[in-house]
Amino acid sequence: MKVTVLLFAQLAELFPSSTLEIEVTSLQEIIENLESKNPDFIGQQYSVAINEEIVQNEIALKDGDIVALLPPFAGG
Amino acid sequence: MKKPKKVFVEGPISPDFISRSIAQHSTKTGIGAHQIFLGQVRADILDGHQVKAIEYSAYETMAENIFHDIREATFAQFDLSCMHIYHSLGEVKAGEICLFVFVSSKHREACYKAIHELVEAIKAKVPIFGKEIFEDGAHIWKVNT
Repeated sequence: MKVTVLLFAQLAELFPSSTLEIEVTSLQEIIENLESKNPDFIGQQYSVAINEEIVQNEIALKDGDIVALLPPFAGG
Repeated sequence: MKKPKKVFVEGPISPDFISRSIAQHSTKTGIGAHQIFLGQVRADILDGHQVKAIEYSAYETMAENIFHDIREATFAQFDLSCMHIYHSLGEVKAGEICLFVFVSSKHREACYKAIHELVEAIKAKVPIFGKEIFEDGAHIWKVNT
């Protein structure tokens, strides 16, 4: 299925674009895809939001999902 | 669901904006207490480099929704008359204001508690990112402690 991956802040700096459209079946596959594109992604800290909801565990992805990888927050 | 109130402003929050915001409450005479929190950019020195500004960015749509949830939860928890939250996006220089939280109530106790809860929730829950820019142009990414 095709999902949109959004990268922010220091994670966006690791790739040519902060928005990626990729064919994957799981969140784990997204991570592996990014790690293979740029090994500096390995070990980065982030939380994951699927369709703007933070998820704690691996959950099933659906076609068209928006998966955001969010580095540590720094508001305020 | 009500439309989320606009929180983000481009650049620093001016003292003039804050003063006008206070003035606008003079007609609300049921209010007996205001409490304001202002976040200001610090010129931290990190590894010998001085921070000259923070450039804020956010996952804006998600952030606006979380700000809305935080507002609703705080209104439900405390007896507040009104609440305003503004956060900067883009560059804010050291010494300038990047966060303005303003709560009002009939009595002081609700304001004290609400402002603390609000600021802590904003720092912990809202996807806002801060690029700390040094005098020499290098940068690192800020992490809330």
